[in-house]
Amino acid sequence: MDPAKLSALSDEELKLLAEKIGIFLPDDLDRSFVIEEIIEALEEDAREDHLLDGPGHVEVKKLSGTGFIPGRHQDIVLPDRYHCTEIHAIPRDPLWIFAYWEIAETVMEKLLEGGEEPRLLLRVNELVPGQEKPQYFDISVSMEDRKWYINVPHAGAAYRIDLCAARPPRLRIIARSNVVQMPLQYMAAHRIPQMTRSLMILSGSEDLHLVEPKESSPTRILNMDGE
Amino acid sequence: MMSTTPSLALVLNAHLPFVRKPEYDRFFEERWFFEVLTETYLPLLRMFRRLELDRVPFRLSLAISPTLLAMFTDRLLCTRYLDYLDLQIELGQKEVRRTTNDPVFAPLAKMYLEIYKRARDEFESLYGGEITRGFDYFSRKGWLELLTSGATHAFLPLYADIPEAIDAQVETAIIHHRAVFGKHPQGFWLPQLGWYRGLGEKLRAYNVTHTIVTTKGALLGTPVPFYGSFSPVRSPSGMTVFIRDAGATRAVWSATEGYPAHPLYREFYRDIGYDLDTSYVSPYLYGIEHGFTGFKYWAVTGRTEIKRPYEPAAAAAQAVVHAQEFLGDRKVQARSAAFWMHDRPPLIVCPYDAELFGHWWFEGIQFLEALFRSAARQAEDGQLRLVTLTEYLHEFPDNPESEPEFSSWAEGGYAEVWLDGKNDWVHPHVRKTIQRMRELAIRFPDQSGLRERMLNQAAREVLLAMSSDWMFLLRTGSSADFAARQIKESISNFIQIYEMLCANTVDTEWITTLEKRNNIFPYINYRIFAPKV
Repeated sequence: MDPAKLSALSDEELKLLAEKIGIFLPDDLDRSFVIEEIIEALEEDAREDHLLDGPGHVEVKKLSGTGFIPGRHQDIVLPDRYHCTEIHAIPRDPLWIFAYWEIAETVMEKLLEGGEEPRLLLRVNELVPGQEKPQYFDISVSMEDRKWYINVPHAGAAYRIDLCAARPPRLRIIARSNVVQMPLQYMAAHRIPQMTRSLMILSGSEDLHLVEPKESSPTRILNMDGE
Repeated sequence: MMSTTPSLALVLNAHLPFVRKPEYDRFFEERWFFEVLTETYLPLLRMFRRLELDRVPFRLSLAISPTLLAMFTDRLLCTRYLDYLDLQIELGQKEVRRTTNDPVFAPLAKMYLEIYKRARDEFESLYGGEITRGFDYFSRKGWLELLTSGATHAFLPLYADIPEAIDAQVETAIIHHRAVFGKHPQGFWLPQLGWYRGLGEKLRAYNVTHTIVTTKGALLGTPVPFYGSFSPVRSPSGMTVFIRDAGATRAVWSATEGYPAHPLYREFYRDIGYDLDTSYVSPYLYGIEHGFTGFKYWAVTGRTEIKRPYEPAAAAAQAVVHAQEFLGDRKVQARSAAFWMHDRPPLIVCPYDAELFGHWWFEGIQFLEALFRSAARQAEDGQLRLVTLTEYLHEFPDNPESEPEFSSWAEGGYAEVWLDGKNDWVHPHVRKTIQRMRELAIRFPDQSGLRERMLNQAAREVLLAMSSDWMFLLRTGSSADFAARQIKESISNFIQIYEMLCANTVDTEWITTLEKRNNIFPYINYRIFAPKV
């Protein structure tokens, strides 16, 4: 979308366009920001279209067209909760885990007993073989949250998530997840025979970006202007 | 004796999610099945027959998903298919009349009329309504290898921590395949090419010998595959894991740069169902206002809204050119790989969605036929030969060891497509139903009569809820309301059965109706969800 064309639209037209493409902006937002948001959203859509260039686009075509009109059917409401206390983790890609949880009403009532509401947190434990105490970091979540996408630091590592209630100095583990093994992001590129290395390139390893990019070498000679 | 000629294995994944709605007189989404029958599967079998007649020894591996297999053999859907064809023939006749004086479009209208008439004739007279007979025939000749896939096309890595879910998907698939073809499937197509470390053990336990993973999953494997993607690997479980070729994939898959995007080919999206008046097309679209009728008169042309009329002869010629180009490129690739491989010839594995050929890429079947014919002619020069996966495995049973990494063939290469903000609400429900089904299988290990029927139906509903197709549609937004409805129905049906079993009550009429409606996998045994000792 041409920014000049967007600039020519009235405030009302911009607002309608923003709504149409699914972005909701505060009324008092400056025009230039609105235009910027619209352009960004449209670019995002274009990127999504490009991503559908993978096998997915065939699936879209074979399952295209629907006669299903939601309003004509009685809505099915699934249970909001299953009255259990548990947390589960599913690896999504090398650096993201999807965690979801539930706290049973009885457990929640006990948590809320005794004054101040405890702070809920997800303790993300990295499990290293041979290391007894896992390394961890915490993510604060609210009582209303039921799921979280967790960005983990190491591809290929194993993680376990503890759902905890903190009322300093006490920390209580309410539920413990399954252990998830994160997939690798890059090839183990060292000690590969030349023959295999060549065959990997012919197999398309370069296009798949499977070799870890090297960090830029530190500059040994400083420029006079400090750059 | 081992061949020294490089090999090419073409693998097609035939799959549709289970859509069968006997409670309606007509149901629009059942047309997905009717469309691919007409445009992909009947033409594929027709091509096999032509090749057989001309003594062209083709080789193809075809994975038929259990849900599609269930629809292929379902009496109601097959009867409805004939009704669909009658409607299409009626529309074709109207189109012939409408375009009578148009020298450009009249031949196209006649072409479509012929397509639907021939489909009807073949489906009814040649196959007696059971096209699995055709696949079985070519499989018995050894030209076609049949593989199975996950029971309801579940994306297996999502359930890596629930072994019973994996067992249920694999075991149900194998039993269903055996029931239809009378033969144990040796190969297993991973839905969405979804693999995770340890899956090999599960598959080997069911006597599955081979499968396919993506290039990315394989190259990230441990250790790195010795021959790259030019040979399968042997996972620690003993499974032979074939590796998809990235170059061959791009050439055909890409919607923008692949062969199907060529200007001469038929445009998928321009359809009289959108171009003509609602009153004209709606009676042929089960009452909806606009949609795909299958009558498409325009060529891809380019990235423009102004399209050229479609010319079938020119497009057919282009398909032959592309087949030659495809084979030529694979030969160059094989020669380059052979330079480094001294102890065995390279293998190039090309897996695609079967519905790509004919349904989306209208000329795709002509491409395949030209490819088979050229490959047969050129096999004698020792540059490239076609093989099925099993054939290759018999010839080269020893392969370098490696365990591929968690991977899929979707964007990103992992699980992003089935696990994102638009579809993640599904997972807690689906996984809870699996957990509860496991609990039921433990609590009721030896039921019979009505209670066994209820447990079996519960198992069907769990499997249906696991389908990756609905999660995919939720993410893309295409047919998303329908996808959500499918998942909710299955989960809700399961919950009702679960609650009845827990309360020791039963609504016989309801369960009988449900059994008739969701009748997939008649041989299902709910105990597949019990933990394996």
